[in-house]
Amino acid sequence: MLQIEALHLEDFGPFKGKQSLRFSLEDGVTIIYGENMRGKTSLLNAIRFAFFGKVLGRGRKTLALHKIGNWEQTSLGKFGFQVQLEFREDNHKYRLTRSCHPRSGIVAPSDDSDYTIEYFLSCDGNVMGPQQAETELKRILPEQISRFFLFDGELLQEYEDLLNSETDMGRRISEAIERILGVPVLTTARATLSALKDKSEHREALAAQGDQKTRELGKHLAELHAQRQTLREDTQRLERDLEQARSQKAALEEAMKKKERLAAWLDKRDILERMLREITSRREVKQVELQQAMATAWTALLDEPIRQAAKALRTQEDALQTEIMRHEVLRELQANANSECPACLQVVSPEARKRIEISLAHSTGQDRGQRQRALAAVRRKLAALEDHGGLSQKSALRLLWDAVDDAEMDFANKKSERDEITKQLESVDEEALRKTKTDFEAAIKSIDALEKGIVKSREAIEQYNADAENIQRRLDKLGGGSLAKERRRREIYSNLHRLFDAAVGNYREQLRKRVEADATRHFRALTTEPDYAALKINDSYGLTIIHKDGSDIPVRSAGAEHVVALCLIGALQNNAPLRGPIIIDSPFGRLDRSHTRNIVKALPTMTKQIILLVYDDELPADIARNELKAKLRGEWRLERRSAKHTDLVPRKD
Amino acid sequence: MANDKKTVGITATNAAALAHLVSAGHFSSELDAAKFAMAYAIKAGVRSGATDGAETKWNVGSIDPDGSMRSLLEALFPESTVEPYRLAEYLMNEGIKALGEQGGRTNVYDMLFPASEARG
Amino acid sequence: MTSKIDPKNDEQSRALLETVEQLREQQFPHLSADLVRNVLRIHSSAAAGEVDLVRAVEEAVEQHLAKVI
Repeated sequence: MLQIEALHLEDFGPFKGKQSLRFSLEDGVTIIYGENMRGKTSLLNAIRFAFFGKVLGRGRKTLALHKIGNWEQTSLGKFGFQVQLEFREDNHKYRLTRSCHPRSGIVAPSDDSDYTIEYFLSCDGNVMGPQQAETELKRILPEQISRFFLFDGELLQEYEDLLNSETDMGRRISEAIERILGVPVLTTARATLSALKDKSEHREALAAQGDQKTRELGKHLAELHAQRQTLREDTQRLERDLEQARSQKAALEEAMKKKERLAAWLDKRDILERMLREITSRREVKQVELQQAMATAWTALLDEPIRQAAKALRTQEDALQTEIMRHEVLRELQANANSECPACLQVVSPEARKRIEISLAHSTGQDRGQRQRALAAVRRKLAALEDHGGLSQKSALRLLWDAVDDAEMDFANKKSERDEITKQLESVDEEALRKTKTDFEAAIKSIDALEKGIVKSREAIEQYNADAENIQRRLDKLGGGSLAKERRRREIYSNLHRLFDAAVGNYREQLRKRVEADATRHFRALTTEPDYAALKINDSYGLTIIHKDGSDIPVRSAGAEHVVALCLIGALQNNAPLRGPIIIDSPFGRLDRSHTRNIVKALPTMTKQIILLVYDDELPADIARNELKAKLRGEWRLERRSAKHTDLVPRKD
Repeated sequence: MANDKKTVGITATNAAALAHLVSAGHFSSELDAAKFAMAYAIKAGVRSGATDGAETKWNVGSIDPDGSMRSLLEALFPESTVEPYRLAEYLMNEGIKALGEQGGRTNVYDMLFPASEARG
Repeated sequence: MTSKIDPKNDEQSRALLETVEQLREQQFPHLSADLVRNVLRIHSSAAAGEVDLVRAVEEAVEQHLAKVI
């Protein structure tokens, strides 16, 4: 039984500096509270890192180790991290230390290749050699099944893979389950016995050739064995080829997906090029319109000078007009002796008349005609100014300018977009991609042919088996004492082989029934839906919920998925020799209160040590304490010091 | 006044600057650009004058078919002792020279629509 | 540390043995129970390589044959 005693972290994720978590060895549950983004998943990853040197992100993708070191430390130039795990197994005390540090000489590492990973495993105080340590770790916690112990509540996709055994992942997981449930013991035994059976049959055939009575049959049998052996080897080769063709197909499928993306890019590039051509011709049209408008644009610059000049001319006009009028009045006054002043309506006095005479005498030089001509000239100039004033139509001109500018901007933007796509497509070998499609089709054909070939091969082997058995029977009738021993040997192997062959099927069946029964038992304790009666298991350990009326519940919510996954884990723990802690990140995230309560109460029945990573709303402390009571062995908090620094602190409240 | 010019031209030194103005693509001809330069010179406050050594380029009939430009110049420069077309030649050359001195980035748009006038 | 028969495998070993023994009784009563148990035990050991398994089973069968004959 694997039990974790302590986890020591150094600069791992948000856990700055040296920090430790201690766990009770008494059966029960330890709860670690922390809001999202505080580092709950990092704790799970710390344990993964300790055992496997890996850290996982969303979708089970391996994360770059370079990013794992505490960010506050790396910004200070301190790179690297370490995890130490203290655990017990079978009354032995282990200490596993795994560290990741920059290679010597590297001061500023930039990716994983700049780092080196080392680990040490000690047992009861004695450090193990590297080979031994590796074997021991693989035995204690095989990576393939770690998913059933380090359970990330958020990543349920992989569990759904179990329901679909067609997927590669589904097959691997069910193989992993069978491995921990002991099936390989029987399948290996079957294989060993099969080889030995063949060998004994061959010995018997050879022995038969030693006796004249049975020589012909013996030879015939030996030949059949040889041919069957060849066929078997051929079949194995075909099976290997099939495996290879299948992975090739998977790889090509990936490439095809990529090709679709590229086809989309190519389309986009073509569209952009068409748009660029349109924009260019649009711009050319506008450019010509602009040039035409610019022919008279020069007058637009003259608004101000024209206004100033017009102002001056108007002043001049006023002055001239006044002058002309004044002379008109004076002459009239001079001509009519007894006239009245049109302004004040008084008779002009002799003194005033004298002044008028003098004034008129002074202002000769410019006769009336000249003055009129000057005024006309000024008025002509004013007219010329006014003519030009209206010509420019500035706003229309501006629109044309802006249209040309916009077209140029549009062109530049689309051009850079197009250039970007072209660059992306540069590094791609279009020829190679076209080839991918043909290769894919070829792979499918190849797989089909191989599958058919294997079927035929197997049929042929069956035929040989039948023929061989035939001859064997005749030999048995004829054979004397010398053959007896060989026959006995062969019979034992044959029976042993058949027995273990049957045992594989029986054992699998019993196992599934037991897992199904245990899972159902857990399920009934966990579910809050009274109409749900049981869980049904399929060949790849996928579980379906059964309604009390016997029908399947085919689709279920993420919350239900959670519950079913937990039931499987509980059942595997009940049936596996590999018992260990269950560490769950956000187990209740999608569940309502009643489910949460049920699960919390049921957890201690699933395994001895449970570690939960939750946030306050997900599992309020009072609920946990009420449901678990004495089984609650420890409470911790992930406390925020900064966005990049979390502390592990025992919960005091 | 003395006899006015019948042809108008650009000095050798201004020829490159004029060609440069046109190359930006806003004007469809050197004449349009020259008129623009003339207006620029007027706006900049260039006073009356005359240019020497201008090489003949345009006939006044092409420049000012309806005589309105002459009237305009007479109206803008009433005190000038220089004849209108000679004056026009002077202003064109002065304008081209000034625009050339701006070193290539002649921002015609900004001259037409100064920043103080907000975009509509 | 690396034990040939893991103590915690007890339950599983029992389950395997049960399955095999039941089959033997029902379908192969003439096969020796001891021999069958032996073969199972050989394959339950964790660190055996392929060659060892074949040799070990051969030995077991030969020993059995020697006893009987």
